Amino acid sequence: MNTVKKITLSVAIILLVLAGLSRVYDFALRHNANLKAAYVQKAKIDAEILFHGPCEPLWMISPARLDSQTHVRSYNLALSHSDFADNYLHLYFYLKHNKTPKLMFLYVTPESMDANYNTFNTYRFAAFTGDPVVDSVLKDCDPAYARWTAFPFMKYAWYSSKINFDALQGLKHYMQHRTVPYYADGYEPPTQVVWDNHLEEFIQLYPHGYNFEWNKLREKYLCKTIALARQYGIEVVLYESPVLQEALQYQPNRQEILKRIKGIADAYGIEYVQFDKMKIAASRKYFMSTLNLNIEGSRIFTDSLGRYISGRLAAH
Amino acid sequence: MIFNSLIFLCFVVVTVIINHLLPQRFRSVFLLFCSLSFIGYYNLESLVAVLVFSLFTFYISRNVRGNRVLYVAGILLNAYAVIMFNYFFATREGFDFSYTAISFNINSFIIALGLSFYALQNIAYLTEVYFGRWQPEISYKNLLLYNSFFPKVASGPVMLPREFMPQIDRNAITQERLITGFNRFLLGLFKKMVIADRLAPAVHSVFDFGDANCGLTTLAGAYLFTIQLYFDFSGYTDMALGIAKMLGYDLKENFNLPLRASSVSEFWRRWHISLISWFTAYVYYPLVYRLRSYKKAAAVLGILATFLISGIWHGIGITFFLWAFCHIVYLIFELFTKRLRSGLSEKPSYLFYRLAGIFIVFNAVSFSNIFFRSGSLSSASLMIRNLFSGFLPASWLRDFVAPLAVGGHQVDEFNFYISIFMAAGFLLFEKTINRLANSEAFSFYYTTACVLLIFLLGIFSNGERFIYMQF
Amino acid sequence: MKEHMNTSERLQQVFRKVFQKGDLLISPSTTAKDIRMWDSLTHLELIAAVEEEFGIKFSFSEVMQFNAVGDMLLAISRKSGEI
Repeated sequence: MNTVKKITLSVAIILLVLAGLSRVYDFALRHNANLKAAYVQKAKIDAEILFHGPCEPLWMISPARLDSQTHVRSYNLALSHSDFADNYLHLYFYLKHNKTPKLMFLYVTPESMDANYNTFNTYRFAAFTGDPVVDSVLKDCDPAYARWTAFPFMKYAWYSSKINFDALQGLKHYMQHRTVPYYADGYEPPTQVVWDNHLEEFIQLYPHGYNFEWNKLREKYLCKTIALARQYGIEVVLYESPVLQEALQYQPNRQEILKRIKGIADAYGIEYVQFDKMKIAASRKYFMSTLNLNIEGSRIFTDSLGRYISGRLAAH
Repeated sequence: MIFNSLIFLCFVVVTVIINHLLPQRFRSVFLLFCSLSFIGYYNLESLVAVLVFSLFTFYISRNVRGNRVLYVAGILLNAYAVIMFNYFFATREGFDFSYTAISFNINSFIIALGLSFYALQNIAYLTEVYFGRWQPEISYKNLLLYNSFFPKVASGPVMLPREFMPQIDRNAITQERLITGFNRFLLGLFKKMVIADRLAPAVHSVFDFGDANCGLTTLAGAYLFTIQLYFDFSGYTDMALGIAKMLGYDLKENFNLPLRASSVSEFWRRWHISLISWFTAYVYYPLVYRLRSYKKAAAVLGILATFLISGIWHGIGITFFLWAFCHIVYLIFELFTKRLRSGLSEKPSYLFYRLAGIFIVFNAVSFSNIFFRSGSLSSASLMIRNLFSGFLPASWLRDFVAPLAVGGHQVDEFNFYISIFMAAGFLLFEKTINRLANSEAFSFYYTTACVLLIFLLGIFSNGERFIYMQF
Repeated sequence: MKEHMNTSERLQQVFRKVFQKGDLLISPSTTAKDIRMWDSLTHLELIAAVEEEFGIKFSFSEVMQFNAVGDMLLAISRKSGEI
């Protein structure tokens, strides 16, 4: 076979294999029960209350514990390191396939508005491109990636180290007919139980404190998330779990940012509930890091939250 | 442009095609234009630097034959350029190690692309002209192309005038050369994206966040750095040689299976060959020749001078000095134990001797690389202290796997084991792979396998968007 | 001819002394690849010893151009003949 023919054959086979692999990955990732984006679209969760946000709600709010107090089913939709755009898409997926919940608690703290904290985890949505809502968010938050999705398999190659394992696991789940995630109610108990020294490192880096930078894209997607929920008639509550008081002195513009967050809540006629007066906020004993309560602290907070929710539901 | 970016790939494709279509006599001007554009795209300072230093060297060379003062001036000018740019680079805020333009740390920045390399070429050129061994170039264009040739401007290989100049305007581009060049380039891309870049996070973790690591983890990190460096630099070299070949130029090899060297002297015959050839020809031999009556002492002085200058060339700082010092010690040791080792190698268990040698050399080089890679003396000393205290990990998962895999989750382990597997597999079958990469025939299986593996396992984005502050 | 063989044997002696191998055999086609001890580190030591033995001095370019023992033998004969 002459060289030109060989080269053409090679290019053709490569493109074909890549296109085929892309299909396989689409399928595999959609069957990975551990991926919330996939799970909420397949399972009938139909919770009454949703908890949403990044690590803080994910590691702190256990539906099992909470539901025994509120006597209502809840689901923890939160995901680690996620920003509002990430949250927005997960909410979109959830609402498309599940009964509309009554209530949604969305975690918002000054760090959430600053692009240095958390991020849009593009790879979580790679298997769902083609959906106009997903595509428009991708274009907004990871434009370089969005440009590449046209090329076969590139949407998976781009972040392959984050995706390959999940794809394989998805195939495994499919073959085992496994449809329930490892953490069925969405809550992930924190892996650490002790203080992680982030605050000490933070103080070294910013001895005079750190001023949060309000990011417009974050604001946009916070508003879109609220608006999406409202569109479905969900009652949205923005909330902030206890923050270690000791760390507050290193956040000079905290009050200013909180005011702006409150401003957004007011604009949508919703509440911003802060649990900052809780006694546990004073002691490191209950924290893993400035914003994350440890197991003991989480239990106390969850009970408090449970009482709050019960009271709220009773009042309505 | 970094080599594994789309814009660079397009640039190469376009350049190769146009170069192929142009008649022979226009090619060098075209390539010069492309090279200067490439450099200018990186930054303006680099473009100015290459133009200015080549121009000075050019004019000096017109009158340098037999003129010692002018010769010394020319050397000093180019040497000063290297030191000034290295020093300037070193004192920028946040010293980041960057040996090749394809850097190890996301934030590193080179002021004048390739200056360290073409300054050496200029010195070689002036030396050859001064001693009457080479005629000074009539056209500035040729000298400029010699320095700015884009496949090799970033990080070499360092070419001597007699190796490069005769190829200008006399290169034939045949189908065999195009295919060989392509095969070679593809190999380089594979080495960089599938192996070097996959190992980078582990190395970054151990070297830049490894204050509390146990000895075994630190050792593994040092090993992995040596391997990462090899795949990164030899991958770059493969890409450079591949592109050059497609443009009709044969560049010098830089590597010859260096991790299979069973002595440090052998290592230096197989690692960064073009650089060592330069140092051997312009530092080691001239010095030791003059002092040859002192026999072994002359060789010792030669080793000292060569590696001290090499250390400075690589970077200003105590860590580079210590790296050079390690190799000085190794080589002097080998010089004085040559007969003993030569005798050992002739014993029946030659294979054992060789394997032991390879193991020892790998450890010696990795140890010296701790200095090479550490950003500061304090972090290097910390790592070495860790190496010799508390060697075994208290918990295999938490103290060995997690730091290296940069995370304790299954996905991190999975990725890490794949990286190790690819690196180890490649090193075992490297001879065969190299044969495929240098083949003049297009291989369907080789090409398809490389490309698919690059897509499946290669690192496309450096994932920095997922590095965040989490409170 | 006899002078040449003499030179060859003397050169062999020098090699044996420098590389400390009493049974080393060399021929005009012997190169550094054939002798384990002969590399860039020991090359100039060898050259110095050869110069001492034959009372001659090689120029730098000559030294750099030696690829095989045969080159050395030629250079030695030429230089000895000039004396």
